[in-house]
Amino acid sequence: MSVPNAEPLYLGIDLGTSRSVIAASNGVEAEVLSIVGWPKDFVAQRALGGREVLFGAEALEHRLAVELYRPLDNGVLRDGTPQDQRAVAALIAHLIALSQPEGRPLRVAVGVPAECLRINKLALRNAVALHAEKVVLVAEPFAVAYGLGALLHAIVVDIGAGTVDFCVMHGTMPGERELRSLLTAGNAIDRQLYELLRERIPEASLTLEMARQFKETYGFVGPNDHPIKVRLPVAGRLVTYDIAAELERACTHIVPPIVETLIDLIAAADPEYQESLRHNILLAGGGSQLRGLAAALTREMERFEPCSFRCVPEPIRAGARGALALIRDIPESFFSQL
Amino acid sequence: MTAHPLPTPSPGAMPAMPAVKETLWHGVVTQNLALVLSAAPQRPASAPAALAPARVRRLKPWLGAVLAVGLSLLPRPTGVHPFPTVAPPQSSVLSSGDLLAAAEVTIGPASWLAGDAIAAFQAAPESATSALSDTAARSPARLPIAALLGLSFRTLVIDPGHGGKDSGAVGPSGLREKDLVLDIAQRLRARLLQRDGYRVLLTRTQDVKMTLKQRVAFANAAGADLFISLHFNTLPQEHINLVETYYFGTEVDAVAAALVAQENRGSEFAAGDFRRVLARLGDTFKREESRALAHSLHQALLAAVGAHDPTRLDAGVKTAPFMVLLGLEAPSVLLEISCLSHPAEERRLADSAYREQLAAALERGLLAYLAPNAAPPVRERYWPSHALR
Repeated sequence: MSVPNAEPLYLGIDLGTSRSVIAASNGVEAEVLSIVGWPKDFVAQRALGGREVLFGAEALEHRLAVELYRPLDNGVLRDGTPQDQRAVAALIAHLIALSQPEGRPLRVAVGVPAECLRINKLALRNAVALHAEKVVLVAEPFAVAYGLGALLHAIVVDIGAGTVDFCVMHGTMPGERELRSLLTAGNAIDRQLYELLRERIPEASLTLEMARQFKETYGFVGPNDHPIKVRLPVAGRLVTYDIAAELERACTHIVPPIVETLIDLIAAADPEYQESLRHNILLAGGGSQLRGLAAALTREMERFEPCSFRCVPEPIRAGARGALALIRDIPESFFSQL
Repeated sequence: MTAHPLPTPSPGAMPAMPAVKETLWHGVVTQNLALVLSAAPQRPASAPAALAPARVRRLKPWLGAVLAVGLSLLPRPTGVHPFPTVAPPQSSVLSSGDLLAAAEVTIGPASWLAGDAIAAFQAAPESATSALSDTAARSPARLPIAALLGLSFRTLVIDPGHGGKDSGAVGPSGLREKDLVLDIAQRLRARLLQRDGYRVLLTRTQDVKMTLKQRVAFANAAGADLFISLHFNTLPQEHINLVETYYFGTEVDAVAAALVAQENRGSEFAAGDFRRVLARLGDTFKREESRALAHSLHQALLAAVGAHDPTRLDAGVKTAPFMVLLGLEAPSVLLEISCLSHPAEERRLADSAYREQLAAALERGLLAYLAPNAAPPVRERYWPSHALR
């Protein structure tokens, strides 16, 4: 009979409004859409092979047979209703199960939005603590910075679906002055694109999910000299439309808030290090993959002062990996306090 | 996207990385300890009766009054949820059969991109607040919350954007946004001061750089009842001139939420219930009043700019949590008056008479909003149906 492994398993979790990612010290990494689905009735459950709950893309695929929940909004628990709490608890349990814990004690670091309220932090912490021996919460952009070793005179801009989070690193824990959150993020782009297309093509059958797909597939910021054609259902037939203008407009509208926030953060920083900050701005999160975003931000910031933007490698997983790196590095003696 | 190597700090000038990391570990543990301890149940105090009045005194008097009135006026929450709100089964314990194998789960190319038929997917509003605005847009003329609560607007803060080293947009012939907005703000202030009852302040009266935080702090310290931030747009398409207006988006007031959480500890109500009520009340007031103000100013600017440029586009009224709007307690809007990048518009802006007309339009829009029988807002609009290019 094998002896259970008593060595802790370290987990870094990025609970995102759109996607959740887990990175484990045993090498497992997984990424799941932040969607939970419960079968609508016994017929649906039978059709789904008897399963009581579905997650991620599978839940979305069977959306007609399940009640879908997106338990996170702007990076934190949506509204805090019992259904949302059950959904986020199920999502966290699913993520942890994906990491193959095999009965090992868990030590988990969870990334939260930069300006997360204490109430929301507690709710998330309590949900994770059901499974973990030790839990720490950290600001998501801070986790990204830690994982990349960008701890001195760097700014991390984590562009997610619910929030855009900012963190200024000066070699110490970022405080309120160094952390910001904007609510104009990926979901806002989806809504904007959806409204623009509905305005222009009212006869087309369009959904928010379709708008999100268009953004993720074709989204761009800045000049574009070729059409972007998609086929939309119109009265049961598929008609081709060029949506380049709407895509550009929708994707571009997150640029001004990001620029304004960066200007404010840099201006508030120690003047001796502002130049270093300007040339060490890191873009992370799914939104950083928008084509042309870094160039557009560079152009906009040039009107203020020249800045340099870089996209981190594998931006969607950077937060979870950073959280994992942090929880693994914290010495054992520190854990005794928690 | 190419990943570039991150710069490494020179060892002599920077603290050693292990020391930095240890500082960060301490910080993480300390913050989490504080979070855990703040959530611990309160030990009985030696004089618990004395504690309660102190907490009550910290509640702003106006907030208590507004709560009392607002709770009776608020509509029932619509309970809007992106998906049908059928309660899930009581047991959410996973069985081994429910678990998926560890795998990267990604969305493949959507079927409509490949030309297949699409199953309808409910496109509901993302949040209850969005649903609230949709309901307001469809409903007949609403009674302004400000009027219901007998609130008046006396202190008006006008914020000329940019300033100092931050020129803002620069037109083709060199006109700078920072100069234009300051000029128009001063003209607007002069007009408003001729009317009784208004205290009109500018966040800056000179060509100086002010951070967004400073602007917000100024307005909040001044007790602003309304906040209007003036800007000019710039577009790569020089042939386009447009007017667009932003107002405050959705947020939860952190101070109120934390205070309510303390107040409700030990009561029958969950902190979440009051948080939602407070958030809805505060959100509703600021959002609705900001929306009404935005529409009134937007219509006035459309007419003024359109009188000189019939081709000007209406980019509509939108929500946006710009930092300068986010921290304000008062209804607030941000105006992109017109496009400085449009050569003809820039030439008009060089003319003081045109700037005076714009100030007059802003005055009309503001007064139309402040008048008790102001017209209800029209539904937000976005781009017109024709293509940009």
